Amino acid sequence: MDLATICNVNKKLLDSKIKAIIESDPNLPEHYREQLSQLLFSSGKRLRPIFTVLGSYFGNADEDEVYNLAALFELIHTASLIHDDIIDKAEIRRGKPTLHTINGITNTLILGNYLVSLCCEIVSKYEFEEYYYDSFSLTDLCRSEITQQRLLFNFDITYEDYITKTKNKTALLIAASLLGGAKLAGADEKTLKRLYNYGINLGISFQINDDILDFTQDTTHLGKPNGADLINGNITLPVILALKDKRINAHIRQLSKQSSIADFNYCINYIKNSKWIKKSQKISRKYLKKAKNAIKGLNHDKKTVLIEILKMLDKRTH
Amino acid sequence: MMTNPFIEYINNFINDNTPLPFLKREDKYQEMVQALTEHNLTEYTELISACYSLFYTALDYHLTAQEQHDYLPYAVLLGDFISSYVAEILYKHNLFDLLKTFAYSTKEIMLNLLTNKSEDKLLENIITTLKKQVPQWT
Repeated sequence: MDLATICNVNKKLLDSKIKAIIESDPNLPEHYREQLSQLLFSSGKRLRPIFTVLGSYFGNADEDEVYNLAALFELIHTASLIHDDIIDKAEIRRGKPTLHTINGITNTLILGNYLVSLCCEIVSKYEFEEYYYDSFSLTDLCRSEITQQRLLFNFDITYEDYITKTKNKTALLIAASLLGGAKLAGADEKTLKRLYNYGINLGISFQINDDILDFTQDTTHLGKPNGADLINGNITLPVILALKDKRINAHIRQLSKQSSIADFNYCINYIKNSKWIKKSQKISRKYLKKAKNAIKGLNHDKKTVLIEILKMLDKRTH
Repeated sequence: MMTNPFIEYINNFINDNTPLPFLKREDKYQEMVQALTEHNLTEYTELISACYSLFYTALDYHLTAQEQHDYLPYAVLLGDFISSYVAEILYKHNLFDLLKTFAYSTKEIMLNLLTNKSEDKLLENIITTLKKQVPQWT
């Protein structure tokens, strides 16, 4: 069973809302609209909008409004992916060439900006300001990404640095999506706090899993080479743990932007087959447990869905 | 302009955290100050002029990102950071109509850039929005 089914999300309605926003501006040249559609309707997990819908179950909200907000969270996430691909010099996204390889860097940055402005325009149109701007701060997210740039190829990054980065990079938007739906539905303060903590811990676990899959998943499924994070200088949990290993420590520390792909592959293959992957999985589970603890006092029939999601994420393989 | 707290915050952040210079848009700042003064809309001069100027600073980082080579990630992220900061301070000051105007007008600017047109109605639209609001302020 997939996440959308567990959460009883109306995928058709969600997709129609996303499509309606993308098609709302007749002035956007057709080829750009087509590119955005391809990106939005390829194999994305729809994690953030699903959490918005899930959040709305903890109160009462108009379904149409909930799905409009959910679509916005998917679109803002997509805009961030477009810019991320430029930063990471990624050539493939969800099995397709990334937009900057087609349009060039400047036009793709502008297209990403267009999408953000379009989202903000829709936020104003539906008077969603409170649910959108209050739930998370895009400014904080960008500020954190900027300060994290100095940690690229910095092998002295601590576990705490990594968790902070992970929280800002992934967990905040997941928690915000959940919170946005719950706020829109008028959930009480205690519930909001519990859902937020659940979302943060689930988000951290989810990102740790992504970082593990970057090493372990077959490249066809991954859509990029194994260890792409390390090649980009992004030091993730399996690498931080492997740095404790005397047999690979010196090899990892020698890596830099100038290193050969063979040097990277030596470290990537070592980590992929090491105990540090299992250790990372254990830490990921620790955060799932924290997410479960966050909703301990929650009395609501939809709590079972929250727990079901944790079980599903625990078994996640892609 | 240098005493503007919003612009100073961005200037200091860039100096402290990135290798890139602050792409100050004094021209845009002064353009907005002048327009607000001419139309007798001086209630939020400091904030609105900062937002207007910072929008072009953010855009300049994106328009020049490709030339930054090793510093490209900083240019991309700074553009994103500054434009979200503009939206955030408008929201925090409850200037929802202006937020809407910024969203619509900046979307149109991006669209024009994508289609090689030079039209830019941000200043005009801000003034129109503010004029509609004057009775609420007084």
